[in-house]
Amino acid sequence: MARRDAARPRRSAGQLEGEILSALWAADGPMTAIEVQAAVGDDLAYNTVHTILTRLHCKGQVHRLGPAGRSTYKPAKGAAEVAAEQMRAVLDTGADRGEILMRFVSTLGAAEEAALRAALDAEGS
Amino acid sequence: MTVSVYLPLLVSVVLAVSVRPLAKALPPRLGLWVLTAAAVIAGVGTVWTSLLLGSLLVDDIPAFDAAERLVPVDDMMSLGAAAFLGTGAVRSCLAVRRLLHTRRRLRRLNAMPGGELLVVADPRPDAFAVPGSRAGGGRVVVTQGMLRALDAGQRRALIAHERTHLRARHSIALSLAELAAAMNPLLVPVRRAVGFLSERDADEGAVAVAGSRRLVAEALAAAARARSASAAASPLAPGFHQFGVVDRVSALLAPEPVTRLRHVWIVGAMTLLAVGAAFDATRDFAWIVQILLRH
Ligand SMILES: [Zn+2]
Repeated sequence: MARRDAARPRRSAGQLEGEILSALWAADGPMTAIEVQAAVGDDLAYNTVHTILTRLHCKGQVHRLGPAGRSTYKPAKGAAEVAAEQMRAVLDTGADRGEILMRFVSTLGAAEEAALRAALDAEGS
Repeated sequence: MTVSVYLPLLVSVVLAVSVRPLAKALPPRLGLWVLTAAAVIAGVGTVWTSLLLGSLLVDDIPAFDAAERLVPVDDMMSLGAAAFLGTGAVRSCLAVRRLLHTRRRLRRLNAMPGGELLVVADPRPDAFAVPGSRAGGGRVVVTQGMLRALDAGQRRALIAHERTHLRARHSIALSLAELAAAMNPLLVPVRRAVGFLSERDADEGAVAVAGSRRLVAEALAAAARARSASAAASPLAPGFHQFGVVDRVSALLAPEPVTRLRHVWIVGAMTLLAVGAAFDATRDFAWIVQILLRH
């Protein structure tokens, strides 16, 4: 699989939007486009970051603060709070138990935690 | 009836027993659909042959006198088949209701404004894919707590993972496997294996986008640790999983991907056996009915 590791494929617009939005949500406060570019932590061009921020702003997912050229961006919170209620309603139905809902990871038991550490360390050294 | 009538049940048992090692060796994308097909066919096949067995309870003696090839079916066997059918029917109704209920709730999450990524203002780390009603639809739902627990590369892996679930339409396979397992409880381990292979497939999708197997493995570990730390502090339901994060991390870090196409053929052969047996049993049954009608 070393072949795959060498060549990084270009990411789709949807993927990039997700990455930039999630970088803003992970941050403590508003960020400039340059800070976002650094927070996405990859070889993304500044222009690409700016274009996507503008698109997210148009869709109402991101607030833009300050004058053009030195604007900062922060995520729009309203929908996220409604989403939190909706999510709890979904999880209360037990949707996550029938595996219909595809959860990223489950919780770990003590034995699994140790096995996980061993698996990661064995390869990493 | 001949032994054929019991073969779909036997195939279900063999699948249930062998599915764990099978799932670890199957190529994820192909494997999850092959296993789903096997589960559906074994499920429907068992229900069908149980129906045949159950209906022989009515009157089977003269028919078996006339047809020497066919072994009579013990009434206990027929009763067992009827009980199996009854449980399966109740379980299926419950499963369909649960699926529809969940879909309705999920539709509300899907209808929220915004883009494909829906961030939830919740400090507990969680992330999942909410399937849409058409190809390319659906949302990636991630809590703020999860985003804060990961670094940039790990967030990239997480988003790519969930997007793979949506584009590969894993929810269809999971729903079908869920229904098969409801019809025939023996297939519950197969449903879990389909879940595991969906996760494996999504992990490979994340590798393709993030460009590193190790990075995806670390994202899984970071997310699982964050979730566990939060679960310890709050009553977050722990996932019960036959296959866990550890198996996925091991698969990502294995020096050689251990997928074997041969295993696809094994599952395929078992499925064909179940289909053939169900047809054979149906033919026997038709014959019995014919003889019964003549008397
Ligand atoms: Zn997943």
